Amino acid sequence: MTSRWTLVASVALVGCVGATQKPAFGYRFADNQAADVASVAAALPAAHAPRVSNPSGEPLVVSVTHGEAPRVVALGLDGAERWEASVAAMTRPEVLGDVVLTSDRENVVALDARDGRVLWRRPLGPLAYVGGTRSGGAIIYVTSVGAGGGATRVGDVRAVDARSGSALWSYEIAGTLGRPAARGAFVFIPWDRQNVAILEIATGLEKARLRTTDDVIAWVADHPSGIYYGANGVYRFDTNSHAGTRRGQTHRPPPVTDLPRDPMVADDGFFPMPGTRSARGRIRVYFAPEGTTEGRIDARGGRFYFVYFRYVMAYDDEGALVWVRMLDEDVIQAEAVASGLFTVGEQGSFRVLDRETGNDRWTGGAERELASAGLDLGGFDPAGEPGEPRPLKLALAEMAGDADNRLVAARAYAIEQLGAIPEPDVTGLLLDLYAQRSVPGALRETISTVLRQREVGVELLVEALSSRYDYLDERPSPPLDLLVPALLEQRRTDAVSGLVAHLLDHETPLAVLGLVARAIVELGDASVVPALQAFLVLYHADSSFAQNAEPLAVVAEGIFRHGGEEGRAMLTALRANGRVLANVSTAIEELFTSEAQRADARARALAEAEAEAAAAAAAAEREGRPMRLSQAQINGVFAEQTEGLRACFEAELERDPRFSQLRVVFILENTGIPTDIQYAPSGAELVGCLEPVVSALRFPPFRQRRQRGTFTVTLRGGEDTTAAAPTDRFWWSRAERLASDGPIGRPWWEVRQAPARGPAAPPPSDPTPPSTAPPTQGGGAGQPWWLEGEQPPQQQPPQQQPPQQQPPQQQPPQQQPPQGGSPWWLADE
Amino acid sequence: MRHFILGAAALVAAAGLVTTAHAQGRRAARDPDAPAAPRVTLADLDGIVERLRGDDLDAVREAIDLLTIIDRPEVVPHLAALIRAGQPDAITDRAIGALERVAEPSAIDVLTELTRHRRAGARRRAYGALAAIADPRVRPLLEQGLRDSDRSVRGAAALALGTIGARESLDLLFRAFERNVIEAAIAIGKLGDARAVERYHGFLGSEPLGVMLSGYDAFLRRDDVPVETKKAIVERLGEVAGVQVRRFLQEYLGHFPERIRDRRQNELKVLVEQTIARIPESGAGVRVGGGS
Repeated sequence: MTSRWTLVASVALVGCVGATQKPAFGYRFADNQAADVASVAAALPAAHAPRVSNPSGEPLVVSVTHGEAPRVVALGLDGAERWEASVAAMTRPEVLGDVVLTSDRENVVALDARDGRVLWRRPLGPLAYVGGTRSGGAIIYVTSVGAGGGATRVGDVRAVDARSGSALWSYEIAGTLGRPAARGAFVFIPWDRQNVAILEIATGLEKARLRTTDDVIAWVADHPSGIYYGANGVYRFDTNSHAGTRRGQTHRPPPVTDLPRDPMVADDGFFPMPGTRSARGRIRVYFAPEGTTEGRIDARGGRFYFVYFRYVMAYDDEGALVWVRMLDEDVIQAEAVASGLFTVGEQGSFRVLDRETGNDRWTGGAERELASAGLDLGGFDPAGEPGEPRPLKLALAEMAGDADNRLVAARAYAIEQLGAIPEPDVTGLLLDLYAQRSVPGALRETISTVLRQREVGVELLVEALSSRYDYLDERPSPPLDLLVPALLEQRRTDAVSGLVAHLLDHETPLAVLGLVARAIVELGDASVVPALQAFLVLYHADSSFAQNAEPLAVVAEGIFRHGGEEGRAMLTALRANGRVLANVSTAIEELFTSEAQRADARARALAEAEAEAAAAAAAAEREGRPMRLSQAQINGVFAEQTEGLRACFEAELERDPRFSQLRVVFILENTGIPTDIQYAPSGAELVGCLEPVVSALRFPPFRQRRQRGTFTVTLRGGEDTTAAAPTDRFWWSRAERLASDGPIGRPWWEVRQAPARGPAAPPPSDPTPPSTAPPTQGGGAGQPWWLEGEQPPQQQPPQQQPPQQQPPQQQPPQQQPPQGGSPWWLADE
Repeated sequence: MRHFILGAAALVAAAGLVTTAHAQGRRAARDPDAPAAPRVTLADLDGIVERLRGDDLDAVREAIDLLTIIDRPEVVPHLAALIRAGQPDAITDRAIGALERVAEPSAIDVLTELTRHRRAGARRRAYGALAAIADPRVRPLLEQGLRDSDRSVRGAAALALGTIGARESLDLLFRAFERNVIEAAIAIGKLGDARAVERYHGFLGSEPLGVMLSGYDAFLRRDDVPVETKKAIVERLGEVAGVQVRRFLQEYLGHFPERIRDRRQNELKVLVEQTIARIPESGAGVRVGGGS
């Protein structure tokens, strides 16, 4: 059967069109099938307690020694060798029950876990051994190449008899395969970082396939509590695993997201784990999943452990840092146990770091140079007295100040964690760290960044300014390049005096002097001006600043800003001094120039703003104008020129006693200026009199471009009445208005006098004789004369004038009231 | 060998800086062999001060020199004002030199300010000028100079302490010597007593021999150091031996007169001769501190 499946797979690989579905890894296999996943999940063994798998029944550490003749050794927890095998292992040994599986340069090598003798070897060919797993009597191992890129991507998985190595089945695919994990009757094989093929071990048939669409699957692992897979985050295999996305599956995101080098919670299953000393695998998050609570994957002991070479950091379930520990040797392998983290050091020591304190809860092992190790700890959980926890801030500071420059990234991380602790004295710890000469520049930058962000303990930064350089006491200058930006950031004005002292201190390095001066200028006020002046005066011609005059320029700026007129006068005088350094002179000149430019810019901006405001106001005013003027508005404007008009009317009446009406028609521009003014009657004297008066009228502006305007004055006998055209546009509207407002049914003569000089006027009911007296004699103080005496609505023409009340025939046609009783002027309108 | 020559040359030059300045201080202006100085008096002060305020740097330099000739306390405020007004390096340095020549206590304030000048040359000169002033305030100021970041300033301060005879500063000088202020060796040699010699011996092997010899030279040339102490020094140098020591002792031997009446002095001379005789002319001897 083995040969047949291999053959089928090979045929598919070379591109033949196979009508038969491959038994595993076929591209037509339906992935993320709920039924498939459910059937596998149902068939998996239940969770069990951790137990040792090797036949000795004791925890075992199987290591590859480091040195000229590496060998595989099985170590008890006391460090004593249980057996050794002269195998130049290139990959980390794995304890698979009674077999230890590893590889040398040419073969996969199976050792007897009882005595280390070689049970079988199988050639690797061009592939690299990635890892193996075991269930029952079968070992399934994977060799692969191409996970790191390159043209060749081949994966090979083989099931063999654990003790004899005889083949059961195998597949070779054009893709990368990762370290498998077996549980019960199934083996889970990660494939191309996106899939997990679930094969039945007994038959080699693929029973289900998982495919993720929004994540990467970099490893699969079998834990006592179940099968887990993932990359940075963790998925638990269960009936939800068919979802294909994080959201639908039982998933726990990375416990801590900002760790240096972005480590995974398991070794990358697609790469061989080196048997020799290597950086691979030295940076990892360790945790042991222990089932789920309310859908969340639990970590054994409630801890995640981040190992970075010889640094260990522990986090609680919420991702909060609990403790950090620096070991004196790199950790080559570790495993989370209930009471802490079991570690194997490259010098042969075994430890359990207490989950609560990070202190040694248990130690074992023996001094021996080790390169890699496979663990079979079972439920090892030692009792011990770990002692009191070391304060986290001190441990972090110690880590940050460690001299191991391989670990700068982790030290920077420690500094960030330290900076996040809201205790004032942490600021002092950070300052002490910064003062250490061995601290690399990258860490100094981190400290600087952290300090700028800290809001507690800032007073320590101010205090640090009081320190001074002393050669004999070996006391360096305070780290001004660190302190000053932080003080500026925090706007600590109480630091000004200390900053001034450093400005005047010759030990302040020139490189930071400008920064110090800048801080004084930004944080200080007029009180700093004398010191700034003294400084500038003393050095304005000195060669100390010939190459770098920035500090003097900043000092000059401070005097310019805070010194008032006196300060500016001093700068002007200094600039006039022929001995001043050229660059200082230029800087001072620029201060004045730039101020003038700023003033110009401000003035321009102000003018523009005013213009914009004016334009906006004009626009608003235009928007507020009426579309066109009403007759009442036109009348109102004429009313304001009553006296001028009166004189013309009186003169015309003297010339022509029959003069009874004036009509003015004009074009009114929207600016309010009347043009094309026509008068009726249009006698030269009358027009000559009226023209200057009417032309000078200024009407309210309106939005429409122009409109036609009229103004009519009717001179009546007796009391003068005006005949300003009412605003009613239609005759019926006026009729309606009058009908509603006036006394209905009364003869018009009862409500209005007949025209004084109108022919055939009906006998007035009012005994008042007609008069040509000036209209000022009428009543209504403050009204124009032609409005005086008008008593609306009684004096309005009646709504329903009887036929006999029509004006006589000799009346000008335009004065005839229209049919229906509308006033005569409406007809003209 | 080259190390010794360089070290010795540096020390001689450094020593000369202070001693020459000190010697030139009040005395140089009165040197009968010097060219005749212009005759200026206090009555000319206003005119000279006017020239100090001018833009012509040559005129300012001349005015400074004339103030030096006046050599009265009244010139100090004008020199101080000139310095405080900020000058090019040459003018500042000349004015400091003038203050050194005048050597008036009223100049201490401005010189103290100058010990904090950003230019090391100005600080160095300021310490030299302070050393010329006989005033109790000077010693602490010079001690402060030992803490300066610039080695030439520290050296000038150390030499100045030796010059003014600041025995109270001996411990600090030893501390400076431990911190590689090699000029402190000369000052220690000028100030130390027999106990200081014992303490100084302790640096043999850790400090370059050339530097150590500069201190021993200062010890041996002093009249107030007991002959027994000097003999102990010679004997210790005999243990060190080497060409450098031999040459040093030969030079020291040249200082003895032909005929010495004082018995103990004669014994010292004989000891020096014997020590020289014991030291091979080349090659042999103990290498100490890489000085040879």
